[in-house]
Amino acid sequence: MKLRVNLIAEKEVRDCSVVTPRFLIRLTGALVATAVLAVFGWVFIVSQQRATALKAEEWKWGRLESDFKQAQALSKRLRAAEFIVADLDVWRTVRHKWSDDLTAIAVAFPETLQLTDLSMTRATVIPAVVIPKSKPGAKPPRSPPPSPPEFRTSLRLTGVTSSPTAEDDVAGCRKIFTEHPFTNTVTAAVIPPGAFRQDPARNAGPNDRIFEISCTYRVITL
Amino acid sequence: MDVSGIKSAFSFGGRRLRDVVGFDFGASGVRAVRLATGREGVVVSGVWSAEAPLTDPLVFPHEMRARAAAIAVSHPDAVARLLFIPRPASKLDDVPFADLLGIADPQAFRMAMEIAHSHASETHVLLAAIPETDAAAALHPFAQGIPAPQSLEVAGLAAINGLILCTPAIEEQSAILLDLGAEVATVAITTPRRLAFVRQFRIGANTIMKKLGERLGMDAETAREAVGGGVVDATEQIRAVFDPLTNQIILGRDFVSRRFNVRPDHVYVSGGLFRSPAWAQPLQVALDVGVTIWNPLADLPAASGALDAETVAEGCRFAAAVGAALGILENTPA
Repeated sequence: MKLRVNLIAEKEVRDCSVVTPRFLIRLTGALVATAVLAVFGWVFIVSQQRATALKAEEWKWGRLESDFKQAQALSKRLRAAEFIVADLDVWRTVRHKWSDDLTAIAVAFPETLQLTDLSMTRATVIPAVVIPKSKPGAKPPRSPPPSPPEFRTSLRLTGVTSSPTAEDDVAGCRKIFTEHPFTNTVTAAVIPPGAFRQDPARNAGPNDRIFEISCTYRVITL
Repeated sequence: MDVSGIKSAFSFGGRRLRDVVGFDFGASGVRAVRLATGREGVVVSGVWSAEAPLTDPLVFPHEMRARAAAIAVSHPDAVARLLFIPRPASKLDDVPFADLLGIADPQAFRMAMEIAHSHASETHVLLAAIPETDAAAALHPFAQGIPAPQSLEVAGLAAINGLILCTPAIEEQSAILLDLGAEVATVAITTPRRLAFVRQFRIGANTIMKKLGERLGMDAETAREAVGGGVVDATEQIRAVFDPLTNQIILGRDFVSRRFNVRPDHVYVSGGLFRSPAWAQPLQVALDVGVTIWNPLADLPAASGALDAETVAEGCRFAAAVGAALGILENTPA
């Protein structure tokens, strides 16, 4: 039995607790708990999203794996084929057109000279790598990268003559290689010392001579 | 910055208030009593009063600043009444309570009700109303800081509620409870474990003393001191000036007797006038029952040094303040 009729409005009632250390501890605890829950919640949500995404990707991978491996094998074959094609392209590029040279030689070769031998030499040379010497106790220097291989070509002409003007004729023959079409390809055309001499054959006359001309072509780096 | 919302949010279900200051804003000034609950129960830890209205909270002494405030307001226009509505409690929505209380302008009043008793065919509703301006004026000093207001009650009801809380025997008996304020008298009549009658009358101690002074040819204050101190024998004049109040009480008692078939056999009184026991005599004679004067400061234990003998003797003046504070202490969640 009470005679208490409270006329105060709800909005007029104020909380009467003071800000105590206990309140601050509770507030801090609640904030920390909220932050921890938020972090854990965020981590959980992100992990769930990633797990879902992983499952989806695995499902996709399951469907694509055989195609992918097939594509990898094809790609490997393609790369090998491309290497071969590239090599062939290089060789095609460096291929020397001997027909032009031989035609030019046939046209310009003096009539007083008889060609007895013509040899063409092609060689692929890998330049040696020079490794610098390291000082004692020092770290060994890094070896330089290997130089690209070089494609070297040479031509050697051997012949006989009994012409009284043989020396001039041989010199004229050597001059062929300083003119078109050899100007861009032949770097040197020389008569090696002692190559123009008396023919050593037993039945050779006093005017019979033998000669030799060596041509060196421009080195092509592969 | 008001952090009360944050604080209440982190109170985790609320805490029992253990320290409350009760205010009584009356016609004769402001009275405040600070009560605290401890191991030995409710203890009076401070008393303060001022003749002037409390408009500036800074004048309120620091030692009286409990965290919670319970406010009681007395005003001649305040209304407190127990109504018997012939309906169940669930069907009170369209009951014109303002009309039943005789309030012409409901917008100007703040009203609240408590259902005292209810059954299928009848609901006993305790209604209270005070002018909105008085409610706002009483709450204004407590707009911020502490003490923070927790309740606003009609002073007469608060005093009688305090009387019931301090006197558990009333629950088991039929008694007349009277709080005689300066301007208003509040009368409640109880039957065992039930409230049977509550009314307020515009017959206050000031009116009674004024009439007594007129009859004795002296001013009201002199009449109070002379008759209360036993200097003057004015039995007949006292009976005459108390007649309007005793007649109303007798009417109420007869109503309760008819309706509940119980006759109140004791009167409990509170209010500043009863600082002198002589003023209870006319009630005892007119009602022909025993009268007990409730002095809350004498009933309740006090903290060491909180009260002196003079203050305890004036304890009847603090009935409403004590009742309001007790109402908070009894009604906060455990």
